[in-house]
Amino acid sequence: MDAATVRLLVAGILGLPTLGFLVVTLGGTLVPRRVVRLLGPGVIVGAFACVVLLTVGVLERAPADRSITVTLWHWLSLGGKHGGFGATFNVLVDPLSLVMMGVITGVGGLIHIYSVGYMAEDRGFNRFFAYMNFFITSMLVLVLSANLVFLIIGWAMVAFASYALIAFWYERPTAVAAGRKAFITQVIGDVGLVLAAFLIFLNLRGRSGNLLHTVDFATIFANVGPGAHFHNGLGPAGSGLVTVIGLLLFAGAAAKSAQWPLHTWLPDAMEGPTPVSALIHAATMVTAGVYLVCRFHPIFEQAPTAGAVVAVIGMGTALMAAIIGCTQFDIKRVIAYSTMSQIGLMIFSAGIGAYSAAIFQLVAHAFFKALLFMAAGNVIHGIGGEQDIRQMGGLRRRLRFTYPAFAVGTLALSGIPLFAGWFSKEELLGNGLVLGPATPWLWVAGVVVNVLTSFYSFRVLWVTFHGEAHGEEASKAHEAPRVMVGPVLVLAALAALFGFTNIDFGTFHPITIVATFLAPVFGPIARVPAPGVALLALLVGTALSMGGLGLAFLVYGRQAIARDLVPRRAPWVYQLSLQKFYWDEVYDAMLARPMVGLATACRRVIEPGVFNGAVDGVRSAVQTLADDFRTFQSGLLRDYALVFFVFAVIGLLVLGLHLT
Amino acid sequence: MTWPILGITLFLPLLGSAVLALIPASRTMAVRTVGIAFAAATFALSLVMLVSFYATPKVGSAVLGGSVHGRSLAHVASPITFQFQEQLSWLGSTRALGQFRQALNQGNNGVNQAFAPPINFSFHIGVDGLAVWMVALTGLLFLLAAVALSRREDRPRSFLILMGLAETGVIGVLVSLDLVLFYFFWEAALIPLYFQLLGWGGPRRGAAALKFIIYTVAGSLFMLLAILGLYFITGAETGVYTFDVPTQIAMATQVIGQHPTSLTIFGHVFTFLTPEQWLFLAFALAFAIKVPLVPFHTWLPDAYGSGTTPFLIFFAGIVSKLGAFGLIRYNLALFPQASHFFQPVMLALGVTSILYGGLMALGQRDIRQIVAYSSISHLGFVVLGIFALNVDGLGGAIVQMVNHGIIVAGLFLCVGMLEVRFGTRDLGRMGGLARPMPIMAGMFLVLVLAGMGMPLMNSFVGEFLILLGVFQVSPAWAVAASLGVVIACWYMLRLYQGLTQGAVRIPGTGGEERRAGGSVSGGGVRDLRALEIALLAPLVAVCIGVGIYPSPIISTIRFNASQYMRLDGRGPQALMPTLGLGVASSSAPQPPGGGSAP
Amino acid sequence: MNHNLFPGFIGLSAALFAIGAVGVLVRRNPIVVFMCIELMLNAGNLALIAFGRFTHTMDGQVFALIVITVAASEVVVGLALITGVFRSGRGLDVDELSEMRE
Repeated sequence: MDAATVRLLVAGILGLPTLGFLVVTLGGTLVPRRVVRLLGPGVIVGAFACVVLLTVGVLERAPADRSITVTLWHWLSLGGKHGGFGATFNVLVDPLSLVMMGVITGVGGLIHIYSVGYMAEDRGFNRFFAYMNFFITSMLVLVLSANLVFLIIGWAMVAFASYALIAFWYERPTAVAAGRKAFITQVIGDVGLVLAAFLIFLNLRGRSGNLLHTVDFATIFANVGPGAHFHNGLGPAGSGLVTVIGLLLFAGAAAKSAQWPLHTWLPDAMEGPTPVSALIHAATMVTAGVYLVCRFHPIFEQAPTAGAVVAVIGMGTALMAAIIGCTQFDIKRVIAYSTMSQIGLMIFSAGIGAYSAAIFQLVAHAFFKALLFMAAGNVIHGIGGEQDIRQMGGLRRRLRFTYPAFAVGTLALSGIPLFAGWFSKEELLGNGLVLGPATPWLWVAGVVVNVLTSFYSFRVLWVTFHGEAHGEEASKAHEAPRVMVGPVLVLAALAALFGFTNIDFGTFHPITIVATFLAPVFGPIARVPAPGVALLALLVGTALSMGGLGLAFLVYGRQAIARDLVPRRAPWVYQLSLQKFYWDEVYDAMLARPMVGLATACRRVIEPGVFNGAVDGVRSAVQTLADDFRTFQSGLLRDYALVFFVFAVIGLLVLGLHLT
Repeated sequence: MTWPILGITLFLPLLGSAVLALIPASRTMAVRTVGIAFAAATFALSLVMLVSFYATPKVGSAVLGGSVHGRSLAHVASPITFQFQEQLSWLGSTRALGQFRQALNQGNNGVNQAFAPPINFSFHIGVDGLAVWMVALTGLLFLLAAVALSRREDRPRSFLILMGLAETGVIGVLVSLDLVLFYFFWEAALIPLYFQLLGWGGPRRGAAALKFIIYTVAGSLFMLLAILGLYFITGAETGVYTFDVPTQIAMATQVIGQHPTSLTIFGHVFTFLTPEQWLFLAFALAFAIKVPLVPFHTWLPDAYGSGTTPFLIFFAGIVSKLGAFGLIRYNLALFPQASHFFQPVMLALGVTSILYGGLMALGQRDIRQIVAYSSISHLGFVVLGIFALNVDGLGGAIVQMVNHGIIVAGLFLCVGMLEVRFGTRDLGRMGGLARPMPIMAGMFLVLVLAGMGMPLMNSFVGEFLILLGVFQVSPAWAVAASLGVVIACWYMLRLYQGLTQGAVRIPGTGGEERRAGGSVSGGGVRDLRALEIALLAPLVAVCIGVGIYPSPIISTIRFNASQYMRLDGRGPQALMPTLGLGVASSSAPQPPGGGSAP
Repeated sequence: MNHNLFPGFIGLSAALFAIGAVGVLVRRNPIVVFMCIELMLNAGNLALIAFGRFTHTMDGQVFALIVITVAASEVVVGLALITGVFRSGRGLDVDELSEMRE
């Protein structure tokens, strides 16, 4: 495939969603709804077609030659001899960005089609598709960028798109607050990313020790960390500088991927429409953090401390979110916490250096989590907007297509053998046995996460679809229209079958289709567990995941175990989980309130007291003085004339005395 | 150059005012048309200059003549390259200028102490990459202000006449290449601004106008003293007494810093500041008040709170940038070593402005005051970038000056449109306006995003470069300033969400709020009219356009920005020969040459 | 005129000036005030001419001519002002015209 064709396809990938966005935004409500209905999903499907063509073209090349850079336009340059800043909008097409693009446009396209049905009754239909198309453009900019600047630009653009879509129903105060929270958290992450970019730009040295002053990925990675020609462009491995860069990058990733301590916005983000949750807060945007860590793997390989922090925080978030997920009642919030938890696993995997496993989990997760959200959307749609699972029940008889799809999603999420999640999670966890900090213990934590995951997934499945209908709406539920069921079924098929691309029972060694495709980017994995150990881990992990399923069945299916066992026996554990570890309260008390208090103090005390006070002091001093002199000013001309004469006479007398 | 485009641009608004004065005030339609026509013509000329400058950013008077201490400057470039230069000798008379030229040609033999110092002051104008953008911004904002002048506004003719005077004053400040001329325009611009603030606007406008004028005049008094001080100090050192800015830059960067750093007051010898540093402080005070930086800012909320919308468009948009412009053109160029000396102070003031302005904006309920304090915060970024003292910071600061002019004008326009509709500025009394006014909400959103420095918006370019520049000097200040970005996001979202989102709340005319439920569309409220859309559209387009493709603006300023950075002789490309330190070498007055030849 | 008369001229001039000054200060009718100002000016003229005669130069007369010119212009402006004030219906009393206060 020649350069011109690649450029054309890239232009199509970026341009089509932009076109959709522009048409709908500038046209506003003048664009008829039936046009938007075709245009909105159409441009995304078109972009997906371009991605497929591009992938085919890239596959024609030799594996080492699959990284293509396309220059789109010159952004700015203060450069020259003085070493000022400069950046160009370059696009990097390589296996990693192709996988990401495939997920974004593929899953994104399905969700757009689904949205045509889900949002059909909404008065903001056009606006919704404008935002969605804009989101796709932004996400594509993020994954396609070949330098830090456009990565940051994409990074912030998706944050805005996410904000706009969370607060889509802007008349709900909760949605508005959730949007603001998400946006501010993202900006904190952006700042981390920007600072990391500065450090790289200012400190990266070339082979001869000269400062390179670049933000281009290719140059950065060629000069950092292990590669064909080993070279420490950012100081020796494990040095303070590269560790700080790694941690700052992770601050960006944590904000985007809802990892502790920047995680509290994600559950609130469920205020947005359900397709938004599926697209942004499950399949694509929240996994951008994983993409970031994987993209910057040379830096994390140079900074083992930062990598360890990433791994520990990832696993810690996964565990925390899984615990919280067990007690929530809002169906979307449960899925949101499971997203946070699964992304924690991906982050963990990226942190320990198992990048292709992380990306594989990313793809699989995009399928089954989008599936779960959309199926949940069908449920919510079917029972008139109710989201509390306690009001549902017995829906399996009424939602004949949604139920099996949701079940497939649950099975995949829980890591039940032969579904996508099983392949991805077991591979990911297996690496934790030999890589990363605290080697076996993080694996143990991961297994616990898996057990909890299958527990709460099946809890939702049972409470929602089995048993008796608990609400009036639930007993009158109706199946969603075809345009919504179709994409759900496609995703169900993918969630069920995608895992087989990872099949390799011979060695338990991740040499698979996805991993092979990604190998030119990530290189070989550092260590893999011995086949025997891996097999044992697989068996133990799988058995325990099934155990979680069984436990949920006993509690919620058979009701052999009382549901209030934990609340009664260990109320603090239950409360901790139900109240989401109190992080919202902590941040409110530690950050939001002091900030608002400071602002109020500035307004009430400092501004009037100090600044205006100083000015007013000078003013009143002058005023007092002036008031004293003012008594001379009677307004009568004669008085002025008298004063004039008196002083003239005095002056003449003085002059006369002086002369004589 | 075949025709004096810069001079025409400078005096066209003045001519407009004169023409307006001849039209009877009762013919408002004619008054309005003429006012808009002259503003549009000025803007068109500034655009012609901009395009011409963009095509050849390096052309201009390039070479100084003469020599300094026996070193010939015949091949030395003028420190700053200016284009579209025009020079008319004025007070100093052609005789003095001729002597001066002669002295230059004869090198170090021609001039001695006996050479009587003429008041060497000429009408010298010209633009560099910084000024050419600022002039274009001035043209745009004054045009928008003329168009935005409400039909219901009192005394439109007087307002437009004063606006023409103000525009000439502002452009004069930007294009003057003579210190006296600069000072003249600096003060001249104040007078129409004062009367506009006094005559139109809210109930407290009298106090606001007084506060503004007293603050500014107090600051410029020190500047006047510093101008005279500079004139005599460099004159005594070199024998060339001149107010010419390029010549002064060439001389000042060489001779002032070499002075003994002592002052004798009542017999005590204080050695804490050099004359250069005193001069720096005097200039910086005038500019810091104008910007304004935080301890000197209290005139701004009052003035912004009481002016009318058309006034605020150019007052907030361009007049406040004059301070930042002065910091670059005068403080940075004339006193590079003092700039280094005071860098920590200026950075601290910049960061203080960013954080304090942001916090104040966060605490306001008045939507105008939110914009006013956000303006303080943003200009803190500009000062921060200027005193990063590197190309990245300065380039970012210049971009950000243009950006902020655009953004703040747009925000004040939006705020003004809401005020006209609802008669209130209380954030708590409005809400959910996206439902009845979707177009306003959309355009406002773009401006708000630009205001918070979102990537792909114009101010991201500026703030990114500024932070990068500051980061090279001191990562701690850069981190503190980036906290300001987070706060900016917060207060801007508070403003936007408070106005456009949530339940629909529309303040009624009788002071009673009409509370409308979610399903009610807020009837009776009109979305933006075509004229209002036309006013906002160019600003919105610039916000997005510059963010996506900032290269044109950067490539115009790049060359001059790097020139400003070389002046202190520390840069790798220092062009001026370095002189020996100490008093002895500067005791024999020598002419350094001047850049007065166009 | 011989030099012996010089102190007399100066004394007359001073007396006229003093009368004019007192008139300006005490009278409330603007026209009378105005006439008193004229008196003071002419006192000055007298002194100027006397000095000119005393020094045998023309300077005094030249100055006096200039003063007369100024006085004439002043009459024009002053009477116009007085008429204007009178027309505005505020009477002829200088104490009523106290707008200079504040």
